[in-house]
Amino acid sequence: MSQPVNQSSTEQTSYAIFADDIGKQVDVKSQKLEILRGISLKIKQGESLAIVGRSGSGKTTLLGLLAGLDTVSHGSISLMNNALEEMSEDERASVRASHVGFVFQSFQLLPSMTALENVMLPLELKGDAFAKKSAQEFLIRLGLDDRLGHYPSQLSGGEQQRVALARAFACKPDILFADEPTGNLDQETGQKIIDLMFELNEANSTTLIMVTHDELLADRCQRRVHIDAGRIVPEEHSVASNKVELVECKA
Amino acid sequence: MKLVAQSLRDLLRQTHNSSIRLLFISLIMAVLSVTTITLVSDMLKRSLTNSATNFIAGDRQLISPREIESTWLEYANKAGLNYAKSLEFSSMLYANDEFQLVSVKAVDQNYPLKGELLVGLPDGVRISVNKGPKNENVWMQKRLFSLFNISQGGTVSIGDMDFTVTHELAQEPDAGFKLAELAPRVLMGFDEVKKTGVIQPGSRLTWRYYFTGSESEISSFEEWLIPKLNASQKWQGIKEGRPAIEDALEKTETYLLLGGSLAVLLACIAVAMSSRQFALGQIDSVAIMKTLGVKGSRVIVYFTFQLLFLGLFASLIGIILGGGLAFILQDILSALIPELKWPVWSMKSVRVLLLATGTVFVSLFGFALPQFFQLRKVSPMRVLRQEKMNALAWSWRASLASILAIFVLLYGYSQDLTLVAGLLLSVVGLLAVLMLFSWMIYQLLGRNVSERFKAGSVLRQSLSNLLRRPLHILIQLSVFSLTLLLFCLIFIARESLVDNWQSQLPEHTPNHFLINIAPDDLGDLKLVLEEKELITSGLYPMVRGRLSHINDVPVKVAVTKDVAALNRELNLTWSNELPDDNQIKAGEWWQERADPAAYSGTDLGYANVSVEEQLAGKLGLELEDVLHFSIGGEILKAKVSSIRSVQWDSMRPNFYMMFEEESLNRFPSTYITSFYADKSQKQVLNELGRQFPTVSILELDQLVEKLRSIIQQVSQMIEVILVFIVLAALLVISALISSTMTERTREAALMRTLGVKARFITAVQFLEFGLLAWVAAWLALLCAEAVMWIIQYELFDFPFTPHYSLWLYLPLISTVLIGFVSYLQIRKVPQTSPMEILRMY
Ligand SMILES: Nc1ncnc2c1ncn2[C@@H]1O[C@H](COP(=O)(O)OP(=O)(O)OP(=O)(O)O)[C@@H](O)[C@H]1O
Ligand SMILES: [Mg+2]
Repeated sequence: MSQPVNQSSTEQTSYAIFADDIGKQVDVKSQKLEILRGISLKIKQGESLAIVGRSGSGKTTLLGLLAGLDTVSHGSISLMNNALEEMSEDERASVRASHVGFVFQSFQLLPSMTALENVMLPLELKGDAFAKKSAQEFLIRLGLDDRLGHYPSQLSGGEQQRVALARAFACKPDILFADEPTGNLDQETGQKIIDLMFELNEANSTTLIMVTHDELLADRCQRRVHIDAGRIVPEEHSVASNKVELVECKA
Repeated sequence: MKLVAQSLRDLLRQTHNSSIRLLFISLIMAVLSVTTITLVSDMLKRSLTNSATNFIAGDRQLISPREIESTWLEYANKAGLNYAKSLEFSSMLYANDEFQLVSVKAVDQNYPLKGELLVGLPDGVRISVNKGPKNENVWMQKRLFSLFNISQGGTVSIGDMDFTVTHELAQEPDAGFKLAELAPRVLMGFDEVKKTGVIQPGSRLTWRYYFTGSESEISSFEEWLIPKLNASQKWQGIKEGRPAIEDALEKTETYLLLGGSLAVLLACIAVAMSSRQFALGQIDSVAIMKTLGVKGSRVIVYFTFQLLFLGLFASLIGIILGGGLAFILQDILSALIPELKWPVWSMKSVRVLLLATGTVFVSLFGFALPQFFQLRKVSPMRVLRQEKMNALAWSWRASLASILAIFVLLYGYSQDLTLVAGLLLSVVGLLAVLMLFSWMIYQLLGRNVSERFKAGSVLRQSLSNLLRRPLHILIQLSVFSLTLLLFCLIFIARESLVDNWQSQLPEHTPNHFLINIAPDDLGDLKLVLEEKELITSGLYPMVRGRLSHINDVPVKVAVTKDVAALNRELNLTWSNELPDDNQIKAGEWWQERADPAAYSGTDLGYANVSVEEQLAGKLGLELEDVLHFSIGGEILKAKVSSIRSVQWDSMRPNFYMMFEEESLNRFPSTYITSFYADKSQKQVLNELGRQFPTVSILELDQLVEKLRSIIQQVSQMIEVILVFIVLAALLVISALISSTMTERTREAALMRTLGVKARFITAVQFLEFGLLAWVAAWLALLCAEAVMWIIQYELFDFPFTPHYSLWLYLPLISTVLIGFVSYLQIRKVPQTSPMEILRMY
C-alpha cells in the first residue's frame, strides 16, 4: 500500500501534499458507504488549488483528509513529508499545528473572545511570547485597526472572515485550507477576502487549497480538481488558463 | 391528538439529548429525595418513638396519686386505646424473720403494653415474658434473695398475705434511670393488693396507667383528657418522660426536615437549570416549526405534553427507586430494631407518593414551562439569520413562577411556613453574598491575570478561559460555593447533633450499680474493683433522711405544692469534691473545714449542703436557707451553700442533697457506686456477688446498650440525608457544567483544527473546573464559618471553634467531586472529530 510512496520518495519531497490512491468509507447503519475513491493528487508548495464539484460530491471530506482532520480508509497522504495515514490523532495534531491553517465558510470565531484574542489563540497555544504583537500586526494589515477589542457578534460577516484569515495566517502556515471561504459573504466582500487570501499566499508562498462553488475564485487558482461522486473527473470544458495535471484515476 | 402523539414521539427520539437526560435525572432525583427522605425520617421517627415508648411501657402514661375515675378508662377503651395499670407503694417485706422496706409494684395482666419484662432464671439466663405475676406469686429483685436467704419457691409476706416467690425480677421496662428510690423492687399481681391490707387511707401511692393506640387515637384521647387532669396528675409521653430522648427526637425531626428540604431545593435548582438548557436547545426547532406555520399556542401545547410525559416517566422511575431504597434502608434498620415493621401501603406511603409526583409536576411546570412560554416568542426569522448567541431572555414572570413553585414544594414537603421562609431567605441571602464575593474575586484578579503565566501553558489557557467570561464565572462560582456552603452547614449541624447525643452517653458510660455496700466491706470492695480494673464513678455514702423544715418552718407549710421528694426519704450523701458532671449554678462549693464541730449539723455548727437545681426551684430554696433533715429520729441542720445542676441520665450516682464530708458521720450509712463493665467482665459480677452477699448489683447494661443503639441509628440515618444533599449538589453542578457544553465542544473542535492535542484541551477544561472548585470551596468555608460564628457566638453565646477538619477536607473534596463530575462531561469533548468544525455552522 505504501509502496508507491517509498518508490517516489525523492519526488514527493518537493510537494506540499502528495496523496496516493486515497479512499474514504464510513459505516452507516452497518452498511459501508463509499464517499471517496481512488483519489491521487500532487500539490506543489506555493501552489493554489481549487476543489470543485456538485454538492455532496465529497469535497469537504477530501479537504478534511488532506488536512489530516480525518483518517483515510485507503491510500496514503503525505503532508509536508509527514505520512498522515501512519500517525495517531495527536501526531496529526502537531503536524497541523506546525504546517496548517484553516478558513471556514462560517468563520468559526470563538464568541467569548475578542477579535484580537481569537487571532492570538493559535499563537498562544504554540507558546509564542509575542502573540499579542503579531496578532495585532496581522489584524491591522487586514484593515481591522479599530476592531481589535470587538467580539464576533459585534462584527459583520466580512469582518469576521477577515479576523479568521488573520488567525489562519498569523501562524504562518505552509498550507492554508479553506472550505467555501466566501460562501456566507456577498460577492463584493467575498472578492475582497479572495484578494487578501492570494495576497497573503504570495507574500508567504503559502500553499492554498480551497473548496469552492465560486467560479471566480476557482479561476484564480492555478489548478482545479473536479470531484464527482467521490472521484476525480476530467473537467467538462477545459479552462484556457489552467495547467491541470490530472492524475489518472485508477479503476 | 396528533400533536400529543407527535410530542411523545419527538421526546422518545431525543433520548440522547444531554439536556433532556439531565432534566430527567434531576426530576428522578427530586422524587427520590422526597420519597426516601420522607420514608426514612418517618421510619426513624417511628423506630425512635418505638424504642423510647419501651421505656415507659406504653405510648403514654398517666401518673396519679389516686385512682382515676373509671369513666376515663371506659372512654379510653371506646376511643380504641389499650390500657394497663400499675400501683406502686412502699411496704415491709417479711421472710425468715427478716424484714426489709421494699418498693412494691402491683401490675395488672395487661402490663407491660410495651417494652420488655425480663425474669432471671437460677442459672443466670434472662428471659422475656409478656405478663407480670398474678395470684399468690411475686417476683423480686436478686438482692432480696440473698438478703432473706431464700431461693425461688420460697415464701415471703406482704401485709396480711403470704406469697410464693416464683421468679427473679431482672428488668422492668419503665424502671427509669433515676436512682433516687433505691429500695428493692417487688412485683405482684394487681388484684392481690387489697387482700394484703397494706393500703390505708393516707398511704403514699403512685398509680400509673399505660396507654397504647395509633397516633390519632391517642391525640384525640389526649385532647379530651388533659383538661380534666388536676395538678397532681401527670400525663407523660416519651418526650416528657426522658429528656435525653426528647432532645434526640426533636433535633432529629428538625434536622431531617431541614436537610430534606435542602435536598429537595437543590434538586429543584437542578431541574430549573436543566429545563432551561432543554428549552434553549429547542429554539431552532421552534423557529422551524413556526416557519412551517405552527402557531405559538400549539408550540406551548406540544411542549406541555412533552413535559407531561417526561414527568410521568420520571415519577414512575423515581418512586420505584425511592421505594426500593426505603426497603433496603428498612432492612438495615430492622436489623437493629426487630420490632419495627414498615406497613408498605399505609396512608403515609400514599401521602409520600402524592408528594413525590407533586414535586415532579410542580417543579416541571414551575421551572420548565415558563421557559417554554418564552419559546413561543421565538421569531421564525431566526432560521434565516442563524443567530447563535441569542439566548432566552430573562423574564420576571418566569422567575416569579419558579420561586413560587419552590415555595409551594418546600411547604408541601415540610408543612412549616417559618422553616420554608427562613430557608429560602437565607439561601437567597447567601447567594447574594456569594455573588458579591465572586464578583470581587473577578475584579481583583482582573481579566489579564493569565498573561503572567507562560504562553501556551495549561494554566494560562484555563485562566484566560475562565476570566474572559465574567458572567459565567459569577454564576458558576456562586452556585458552586452555595451548594458547598449548604453542604458545609448541614454537615456541621450533623456533627454537633451527633456530638451532642454522644456526649450524653459516652463510651464506657457506667452500666452497673453496686448498692447497699456496708462501710465494713468498703475497703475490700475497693481492692477487688481495683484488681479487676473496674473504674468506678466514685463511692458515695448514703444516708436516708426526710426534709422536715425550711428556715424553721415545717415543709408542709413552707411548700404548698405537691413535691414528690417531700413525700419520701431522700438519699443524702457527702463529699468534699463536686462530681465531674455537676455544675454549680449559684453559691460556691465548700472548702474543707478543720473543726468537725463547725459542720456537725447541730447547733454547734450547720453543715453545708448543696441542693439540686430543679428541686431547689420547686421548694423555693435560696442560698443561706437553713434546712432540717430528720434522720432516724435525729435532726441534722444544714445551710444551703450552693445550688447544683445534675445530669440525671449520666448513669452515675446522683443526689438531690450533697453535704460536707464527714458531716453525716454519726448516722449509719451504706455506700453506692457505679462502674462500666463490658460483657467479658460479667463474670466478675458473680464473684462480687459471692464475696459480698449483702451488696446489690444493679445491671443496666442492656438499658444503656439500647439507648446507645438508638443514638447510633439516628446518627447513621441522618447520614442518608447527607448523601442525598451531596447527590443533589452534584446534579446542580452537572447541570451548570452541562450548560456550557455546546460552547466547549465547539471550542474544542476548533482548537483541534489548530493542532491542539486532545490531552491539552481536557487538561485546560479540567483545570478550569478544578480552580473554580477550589476557590468555591474556600468561599463556602469562609461563609460557613461566618454563619456558624453568628449562630453559635452571637445568638447562643456559645464558644466558637473553627471547623479545621473541614478546612482541610472541603477544598479537597470539592475539587475531587467537581473535577470528577466535570470530567465525566468534558472527557468526551475532545473526542469530537475536528472534521465536525467543517460541518458546523
Ligand atoms: N460521517 C459521515 N457519515 C455518513 N455520510 C457522510 C459522512 N460524512 C460525509 N458523508 C456523506 O458523504 C458525502 C460527501 O459529503 P461532503 O460534505 O464531503 O460533501 P460536499 O462535497 O462538501 O458537499 P457540499 O458542497 O454540499 O458541502 C455526502 O453525501 C455526505 O452525506
Ligand atoms: Mg462541503
